[in-house]
Amino acid sequence: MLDIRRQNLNNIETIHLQGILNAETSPLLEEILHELSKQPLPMILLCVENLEYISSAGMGCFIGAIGGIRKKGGDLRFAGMQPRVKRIFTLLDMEDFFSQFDSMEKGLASFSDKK
Amino acid sequence: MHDILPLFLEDPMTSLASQAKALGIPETDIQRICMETDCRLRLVFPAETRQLELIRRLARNTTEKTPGLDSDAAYDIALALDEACTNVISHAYGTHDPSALIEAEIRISSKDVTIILTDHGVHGHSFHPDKLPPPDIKALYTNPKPGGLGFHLIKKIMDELSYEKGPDNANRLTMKRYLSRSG
Repeated sequence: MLDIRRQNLNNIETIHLQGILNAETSPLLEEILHELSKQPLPMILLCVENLEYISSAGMGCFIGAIGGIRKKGGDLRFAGMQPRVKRIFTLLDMEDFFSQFDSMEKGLASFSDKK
Repeated sequence: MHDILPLFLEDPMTSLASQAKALGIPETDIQRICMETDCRLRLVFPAETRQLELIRRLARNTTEKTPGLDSDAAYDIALALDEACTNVISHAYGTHDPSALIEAEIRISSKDVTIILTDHGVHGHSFHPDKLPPPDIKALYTNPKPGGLGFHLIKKIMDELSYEKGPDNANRLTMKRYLSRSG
C-alpha cells in the first residue's frame, strides 16, 4: 500500500513515496523520518509524484519530524506533489508549511542554501 | 453491488421524463411531480487500520455517482470517513481488539450525503467533539506537534456533525454534507 524507496544524492536523503499514506502506512515513514532527523544536518526531499492519497495521519509524520529537523538547520521538502495530495494542505491552511517544488531536480537544487 | 448502485443513483426525474414521454403525458404534468430518491449502503468492518483504504475507496466510488456532487467533494467525503474511522480505531477502542467492529452507513439523497458511523469503543464516551478546540495552525509553524488534525478536517469537509452516546458503549457520529453548499 505504501512503497518507500530511499536514495542519498549529495547528502540529500531522497525518499520516493508510492501509494497511500494513512494511519495504516504512516508508522513506517514516521520511523524513517525519526531516524533521519538524528543526522547532524538532515536534508530530506520527499518525492511524492506517485503518492495517491494522504490523510491527517500522514501529515502527522511530517509535522512530527519537522521541528527536530529545522532545529538542526535542516529541512523537509516536497517534489512533484499532485493536486489531490496538495488538497489536504489546502484544507488545513498549511500550503506554505513545507517548501514544494515541481520536480525532483528543483527540489534537490533548493538545498544548495543548506550546504 | 457495482451494477445496482448506478440504478439507485440514476436521476429519477430523467427516468420519469422518458417514461412519461413514452406514455404521451404532457410535460406540464411532469413539472408538478416532486420526487426524491435515496441510496443506502451499510458496511460493518473490523476496527483495524488495514481496512481504512478499502472503506475509503468504497465510499469515494459510491459518493462519486451522486448527481450534483463533484469528484473533489466525493474525495473529501471519503477523507472525512477515513479520519472518523481512524479516530474510532485509535481513541474509542484504543487497544487492539480483534472483535471490535465499526458500522458505517452511507446515505445519499437528492439533497445531501450523510455518513453515520457507529462503534462500541469504551473510550468513545469520553469524547466531546463540542469541547474540542480548533487546532492552532499558526502555532504549528513555531512549535510543530502532530495530532488533532483529523477532526478539524472532518469539520472543514462536512456541513453538519452530531455525536450521540447510547447504551452498551454505542457511539454514533453523524456527518452530513449538502450537495449544494452556501458560500
